[in-house]
Amino acid sequence: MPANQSFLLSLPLGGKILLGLMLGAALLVPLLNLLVPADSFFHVPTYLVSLMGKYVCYALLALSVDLVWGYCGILSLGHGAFFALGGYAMGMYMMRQIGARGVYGNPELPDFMVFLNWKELPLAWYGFDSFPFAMAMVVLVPGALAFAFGWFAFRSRVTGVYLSIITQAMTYALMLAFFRNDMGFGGNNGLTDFKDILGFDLQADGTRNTLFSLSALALAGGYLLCAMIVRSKLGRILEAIRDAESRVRFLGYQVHYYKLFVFTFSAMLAGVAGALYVPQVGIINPTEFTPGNSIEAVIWVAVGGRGTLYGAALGAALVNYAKSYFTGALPEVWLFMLGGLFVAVTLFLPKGITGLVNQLTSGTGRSPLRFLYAGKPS
Amino acid sequence: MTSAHKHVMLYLDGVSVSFDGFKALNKLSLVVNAGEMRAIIGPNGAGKTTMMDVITGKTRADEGQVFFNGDIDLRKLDEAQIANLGIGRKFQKPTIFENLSVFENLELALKCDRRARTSLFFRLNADQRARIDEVLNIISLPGQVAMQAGSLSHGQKQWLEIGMLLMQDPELLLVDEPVAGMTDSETEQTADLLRAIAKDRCVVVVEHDMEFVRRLDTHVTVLHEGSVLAEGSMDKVQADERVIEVYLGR
Repeated sequence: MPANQSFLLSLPLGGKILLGLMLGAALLVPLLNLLVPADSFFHVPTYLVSLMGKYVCYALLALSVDLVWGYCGILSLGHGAFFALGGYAMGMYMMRQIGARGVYGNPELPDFMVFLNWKELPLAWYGFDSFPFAMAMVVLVPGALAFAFGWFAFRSRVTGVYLSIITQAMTYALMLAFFRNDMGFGGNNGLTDFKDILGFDLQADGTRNTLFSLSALALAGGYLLCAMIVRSKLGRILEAIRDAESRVRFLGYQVHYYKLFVFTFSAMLAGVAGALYVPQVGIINPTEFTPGNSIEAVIWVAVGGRGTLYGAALGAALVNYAKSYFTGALPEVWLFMLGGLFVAVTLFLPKGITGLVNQLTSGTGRSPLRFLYAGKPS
Repeated sequence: MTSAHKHVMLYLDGVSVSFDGFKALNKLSLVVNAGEMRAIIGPNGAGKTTMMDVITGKTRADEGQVFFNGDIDLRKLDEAQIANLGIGRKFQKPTIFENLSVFENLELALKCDRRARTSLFFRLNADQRARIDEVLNIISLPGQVAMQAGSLSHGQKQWLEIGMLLMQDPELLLVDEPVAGMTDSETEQTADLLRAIAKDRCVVVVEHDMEFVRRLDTHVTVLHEGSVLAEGSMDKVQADERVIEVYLGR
């Protein structure tokens, strides 16, 4: 696993662009927001900073989906659960930060617990007043769930559509559990009304810019880690598992350990994405666990082009930009468009947008846009 | 079993497997000695592939004993463990990793630590690189080293898979119909390749093509309805009344 300059240079163009964009944005966006006057053309308004931060978090989630789906063939329809668990861990830390500033002024208990007439903090909340502890939980909780889930599923050799269905059942079960008030995570209202993080006001422009920059850096770092994994020998074994799982076993590899590793790592990455997402949108509630969210993440990856990593990030940004636009302009048709998009991509762009671009630039293969060249000799 | 039996590479005794009442293997007994090359023939449904599945851990035997290298009980192990003991398998349909290059296919098959942790930080050393080059020459694919394995011809895919077996450096090779769908000249080259491999390891070949088996010039076992029907040289089994009956119909 080479972690040096030649490794960076050997990354595909799309990957270099993604890294460049994220590093550039991490620096430039705060400057354009804070230092450029509000009436200037180059000014980036604060709402836009947070909106972009949200997209970047989605891109990190898409990256984690692509790692397991694009490279190892594990179609997880429950990755939203890992994202939400990371988000809850961050949310719990921020709830504890509120302290006595809540509506009920209880220094120990978050408002919803006071409302439910609880007298003491549930066990699951212990330690979340500590930032390092909460950050550890951001990766450990999704990681542990993915490990336990994968341990049973992969050892029993559950694959394909059956695996997809049980990942969906997993996130659905978590959604139902988190909706319950006595789970102790705020029931259907979830966690909200956050005030600050590490003492910084969440509404302040500085905090919002910092969160955006951190998200961009997390996406860049996540991309680098995933690229290192998929370009190692382990990465080639993952691709081999995706294409001919039983053959890999006959070569002497214990397939389930490989799947377990990549699934757990991917879940941790999704957890980080969720943790960065929650302070920027200001709320986490059980709807984040709905299977629809996880499926949407799969669509982002399919649109961008699976098995490329950077394509997943591109797909997440494009689909979410379209979602922001169309849910405002034509709210009734958005879900139809999303469904139509998935069908269209599956039929006409099996390798997504990045696959199309690579095909057009390399000029080989049957282009899905070959009707554009109709009449020309092929 | 004691060390006196160490020269026995593969030992099957009274192995039965049934699928929904159909007896794919019926008290099959077979002994293959170290260094031996054995051809296994038989009509469709004779249990040839099921036998390979039992040896490589894909299918569990309902009854009977399966031992490798004298005293290793294969019935308790899974596919990966069995492969790591030194049993390599080539499938009927060439199964290579189509999206990886020829080089990467061989690299994955290379005998070395198979744990995920080591794979993550793995780098080829000079000896391993040399071994890959050596195998590329044996299977006549040095010019295709960077090519995507999926774009090889059918015959080349078969050879690549045999090359992957060589990278595994197994003590026992199980080869299922290596010349199915090959041209005559490819078939000839494959026979040479297998004979060369059999010089220093034990090879079991399952085949339909009688001409090919004759060319291998080796001990033959005929399977029929899940058990051994006849055993001996090709001439001897071809002269066997029961073998003729099974192959030509009654």
